[in-house]
Amino acid sequence: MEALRGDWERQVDAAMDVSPFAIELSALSEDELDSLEEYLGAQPTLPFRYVSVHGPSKARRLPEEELVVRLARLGARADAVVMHPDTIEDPSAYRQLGHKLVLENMDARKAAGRTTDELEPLFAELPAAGFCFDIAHAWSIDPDMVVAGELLDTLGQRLRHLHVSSLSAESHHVPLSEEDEELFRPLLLRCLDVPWILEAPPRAD
Amino acid sequence: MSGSAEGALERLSEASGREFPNLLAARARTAEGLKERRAQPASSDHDDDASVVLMGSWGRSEVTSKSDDDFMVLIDGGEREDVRPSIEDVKTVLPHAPGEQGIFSAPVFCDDLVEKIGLDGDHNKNLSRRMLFLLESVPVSSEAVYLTARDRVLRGYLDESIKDFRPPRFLLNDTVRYWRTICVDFAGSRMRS
Repeated sequence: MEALRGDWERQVDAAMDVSPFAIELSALSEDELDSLEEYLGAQPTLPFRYVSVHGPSKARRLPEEELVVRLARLGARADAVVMHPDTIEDPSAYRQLGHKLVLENMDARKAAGRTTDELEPLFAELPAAGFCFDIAHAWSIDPDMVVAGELLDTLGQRLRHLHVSSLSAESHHVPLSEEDEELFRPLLLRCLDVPWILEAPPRAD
Repeated sequence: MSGSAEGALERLSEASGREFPNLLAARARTAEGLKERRAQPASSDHDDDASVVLMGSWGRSEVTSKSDDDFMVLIDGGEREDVRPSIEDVKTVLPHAPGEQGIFSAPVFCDDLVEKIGLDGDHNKNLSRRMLFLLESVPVSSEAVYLTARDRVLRGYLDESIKDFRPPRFLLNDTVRYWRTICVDFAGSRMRS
């Protein structure tokens, strides 16, 4: 996946190889925003029923208000705009994204946005925002999956889509392992009604 | 789903500061009754794709001394003649099984529950069985068959209607239809009697 960063056409092809249902185009670095805007601005014919765009969490330089204006432009061409809560300084600036804004729960390396207690105040300020449940991030906080269950209990009605993968020792997204698939199964079964985004290619088997 | 209901009762108790002794007693009675029934197989002759399933108060963990053993023999497949255990075999080990075949005390084929959602084939009996299976049921035998079949029914609602919002409207509409059917049938039954 890393090798495809910024190459939107190849990302679309790679996603199509897995499923024509859903895709997430990730401009994780602000440096990738221009090319993603250009790509979506050309109005490519995308076969997917659900298109999510991931906003930047790295190399951030733009003033937040300007970033949100650009995210809103991307949101006009997508079903969802995912943001990491720990990168949001002024929640009110994001209200203009309305229901397109989707907040993702964070992993153990981050200082905020990891648990229900940390996310609920943000959702209170952004009542139209949806929830992206990253099950591997929740696992990194609590391998017993209690935190993950609490996130679904509390934010399940806001759930818009899932991020599905395992995590490497360095906290990088890797293909879902058989062990994690078993561990995650009860929670994944609670999410059959929303799109799943695989954050790493499916296992070879 | 009964697991969620139990959690809800505990949350309600905690939030309201009130206890619910009758519901807790019914829950204990349900657990004890299930243990007894699971210890008595209906027949040594048990199809690999069959599961004896109790419904209603059993699925809600609300069994009282007046509760019936409303059951079905669920088959994870299509309709066929011979089903093991037979209804008669199951009745020998369920002391309060209803006598007449209706919604309960019958073989139920998962293919009907999954493939006949909506339209003419989805008559009241099929709808009621499907909804009771999803909302108020618990396996007495072959839990793996029960879970596989329930997953199939849920996927029957969800696979073609995955959306990025909740609740899933197709399933919600059918749940509402089930409750409406109960109310209308109850009123209709009273009018006729």
